[in-house]
Amino acid sequence: MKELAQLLNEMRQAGVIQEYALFGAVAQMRYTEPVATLDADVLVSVPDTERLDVLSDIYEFCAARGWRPEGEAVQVGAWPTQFVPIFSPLTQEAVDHADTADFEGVPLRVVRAEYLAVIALSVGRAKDYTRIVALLEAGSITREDIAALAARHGLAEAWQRFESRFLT
Amino acid sequence: MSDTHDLLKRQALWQKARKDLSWSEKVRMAERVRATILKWRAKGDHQRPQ
Repeated sequence: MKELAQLLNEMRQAGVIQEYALFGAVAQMRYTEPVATLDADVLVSVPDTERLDVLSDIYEFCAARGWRPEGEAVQVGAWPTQFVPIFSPLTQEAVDHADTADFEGVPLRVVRAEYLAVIALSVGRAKDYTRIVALLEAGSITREDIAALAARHGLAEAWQRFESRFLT
Repeated sequence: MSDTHDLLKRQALWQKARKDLSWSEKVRMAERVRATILKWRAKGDHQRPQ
């Protein structure tokens, strides 16, 4: 993970990406118990979103440093890493408001707990719902935090459905 | 029954305590779990016996 942190910082410094933030299960572990996961997910904001091959500069940058593609990911150190371009106002805001954590002496930007929960709500797979419950159980966020953010991003109904299905 | 209840309670507390480990330690734990899963997959141990 330290290799990934270094790579992401270099990538931003080189202008290949404008900004990044780790999300998904690896980010979740900052707030909860450790969870099993096979890959690391990174939200990236890229300079030119109109291009069809929006990730090609990222893949080239990785390859030049010896990190090769493996399926839909790039193997960086121990972690197959998926680069996900910002895909909604919610994910843009999540990257804008990410925390800069310290990972073994290297700064690493991480999506905050409330954004992880609401992104999970918007995606809506079983494992995403599990993530929301884990974040709530860990006490890293409250139902009110989620409700407020969900409402701002048009997910108030989805949150109400989630609450009545899993939290009552 | 109450012994089992106490044991489960202690186990739950122990599991929850892992939340307070450092992030890097939790990521290292996840890396070990991941390596084990990949080993099982490579050996085909994840398949149910016929």
